[in-house]
Amino acid sequence: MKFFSTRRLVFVIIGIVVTVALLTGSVLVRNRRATPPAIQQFGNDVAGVVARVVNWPVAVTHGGYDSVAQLLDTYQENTQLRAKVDDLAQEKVRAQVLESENKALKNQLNLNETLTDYSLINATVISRAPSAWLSQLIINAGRNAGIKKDMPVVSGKGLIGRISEVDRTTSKVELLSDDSGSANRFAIQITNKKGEAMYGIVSGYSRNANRLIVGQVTSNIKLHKGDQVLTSGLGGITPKGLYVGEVDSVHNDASGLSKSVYIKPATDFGNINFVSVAIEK
Amino acid sequence: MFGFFNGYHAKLKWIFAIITFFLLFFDGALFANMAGILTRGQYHIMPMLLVIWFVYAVLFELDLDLPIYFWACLAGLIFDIFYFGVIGGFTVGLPIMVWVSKQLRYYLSDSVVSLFMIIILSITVLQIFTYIAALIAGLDVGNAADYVVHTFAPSLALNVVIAIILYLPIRQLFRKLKEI
Repeated sequence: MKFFSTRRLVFVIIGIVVTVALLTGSVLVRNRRATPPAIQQFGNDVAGVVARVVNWPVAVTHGGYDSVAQLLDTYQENTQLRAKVDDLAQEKVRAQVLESENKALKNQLNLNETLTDYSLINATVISRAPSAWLSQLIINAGRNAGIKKDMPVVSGKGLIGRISEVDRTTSKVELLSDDSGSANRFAIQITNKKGEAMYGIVSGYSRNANRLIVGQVTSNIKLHKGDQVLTSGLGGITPKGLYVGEVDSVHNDASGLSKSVYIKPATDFGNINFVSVAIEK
Repeated sequence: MFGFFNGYHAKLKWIFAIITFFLLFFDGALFANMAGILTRGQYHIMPMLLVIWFVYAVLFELDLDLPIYFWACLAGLIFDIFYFGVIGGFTVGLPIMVWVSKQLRYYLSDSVVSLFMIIILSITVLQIFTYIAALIAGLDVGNAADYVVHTFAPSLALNVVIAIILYLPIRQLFRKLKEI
């Protein structure tokens, strides 16, 4: 039997056309629309319920294993943490005083909302796409909780990515480590020890080194290893002041005209169980 | 419903569908909870229990009793919608993989090694297909060499081990279900 009989050839060609159409079509929809088509949303919401049920025993087992592992270094950690708690109590009081002072000053200036005003919505990770690309997290909060596409997501110490798709009760989080273009593009600011600020945009991620890259930097401000990187709040939906990481190194580009800043991310993208979505007030 | 769940081997049909959808979400739950171990640095070691399940279903000739292409397509569609939001990779990839393992079934001998060769080849076909699909969709897939070293090879190793462990339980399960 010939492998490509005319009939089979027609099937194969139709198959290829349909596949390519599906792929490019769904990518277009994903990039352009704020929410996916209704039927896809419905499917996602039903799937979300099942995923929650399936995730529960796995999470419980994982939690049990984790607690045993953590129990082993609890004593040492406890002594360190106690010292830190005392510090933090002072910091917290100070922050409260500053916050109320800030509010009072803002009132005097008639400034109602600034870029730093945001609230956090907490969510649990119910699943993670088993894939090397688009390694998205699926979280158990969606449009009903007030989440919108492109909102920034933080976990642990800092920023981890942004919302890539919103359904009624679940949403997907694209990680900064995905390097898929849309995952990055966060407007950031780096402040050095002298208090000088440099602005830029996260333009890529180096998988080999686990570093975020801020490219096309032309500013002459001197940066040092360990300088802190925050979101700048410029250009839309991301509030100011989310912690991104710290400067690791600065490289000159090949052209010699600009520099690239390599940033060590604050959070380990591997192990994320809980996230918070930052919503601008 | 359309003869999917009744007639001969009704129990097999029901249980096959339920386990298929359980594994579909179990893969993601496992990946999320063991992410610290499975994704370390550049490595992405993916559990593919759903894929193993389908290959075993073909190797134990379940396609004679139930519409396996339909289930592969449906499971693939839900997989794509739920995890990626980009439809295509698994919706088309899973049925193709089922077809490939069906073709390879004729080379199955009494030796267990031939069985694992078929599993390895089927997973490879699926991985190559999803890689090409992601390329067409314009996702950033990195270069092929990195992908083979950091994702494909370790995933294959993990899944072959899982397949070996699951061989006897799944054979037992299918035998029992086929008797009814």
